Amino acid sequence: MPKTSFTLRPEFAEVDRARVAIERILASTCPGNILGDASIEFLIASTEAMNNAVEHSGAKEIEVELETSANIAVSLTIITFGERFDPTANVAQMPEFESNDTDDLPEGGFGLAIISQMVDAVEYSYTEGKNHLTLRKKLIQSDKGGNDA
Amino acid sequence: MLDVTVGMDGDVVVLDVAGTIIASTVEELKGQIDKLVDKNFTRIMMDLSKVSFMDSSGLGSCVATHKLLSEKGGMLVCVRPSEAVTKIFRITRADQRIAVVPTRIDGLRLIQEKMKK
Repeated sequence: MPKTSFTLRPEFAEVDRARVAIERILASTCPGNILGDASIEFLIASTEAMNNAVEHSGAKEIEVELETSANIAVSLTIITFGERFDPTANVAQMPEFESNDTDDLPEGGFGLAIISQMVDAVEYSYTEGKNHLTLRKKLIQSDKGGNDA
Repeated sequence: MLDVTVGMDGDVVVLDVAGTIIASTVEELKGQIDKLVDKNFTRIMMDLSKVSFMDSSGLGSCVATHKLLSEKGGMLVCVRPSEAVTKIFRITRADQRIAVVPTRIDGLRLIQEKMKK
């Protein structure tokens, strides 16, 4: 699978730069260069994961590796040097909008739950002092007749 | 990058938002909203048709705006979201509390109906 690597400073503007690049790469694998449903979901999850790395990792730089397989599957690995931090350790709960009290409506904490719902797998490992978080998604959902086909 | 154009339709503020509502741009949107609220403009329709992407920070800013305007007796309606933006509203179920509708006419009607009560 072709691999593209980025190194980001821990700034949200850098995440946006990476997001645009990832979007271009995904689009190049899609028919008519237009992102399908699954690609959009992967892009959303990737952005949330990179945002989390900026906000919580404490790393001075964030490595991102994107692997694509011709509109069939894609993975993104975020690598940060530092203390072990496993975001998959607990089940991510989506903050709820059910409260009748408007003041109680959540304004944050959505990231991990969005990630887990938008990709097929989230994997974590810690080796040689580095956190590796990998998101995987099939772009063609044969059971559902996905838009990317 | 985020660009916000402010207009009026009757007594409803129409914000034409273009670009991306993300962690690095939310403060700009918040600033515009705060200025409007300070001037007692609390009925706001945000046209998101030119917003190509929104992350959870952007969603958080929509929720914060909804809360602020509700507190002041006003209302936020988001109209014409793109597919990516719609996904964020749907997957978080934020669209159960924040009005998200397909057209500007729907948005204006909704504000008029809700604000009559």
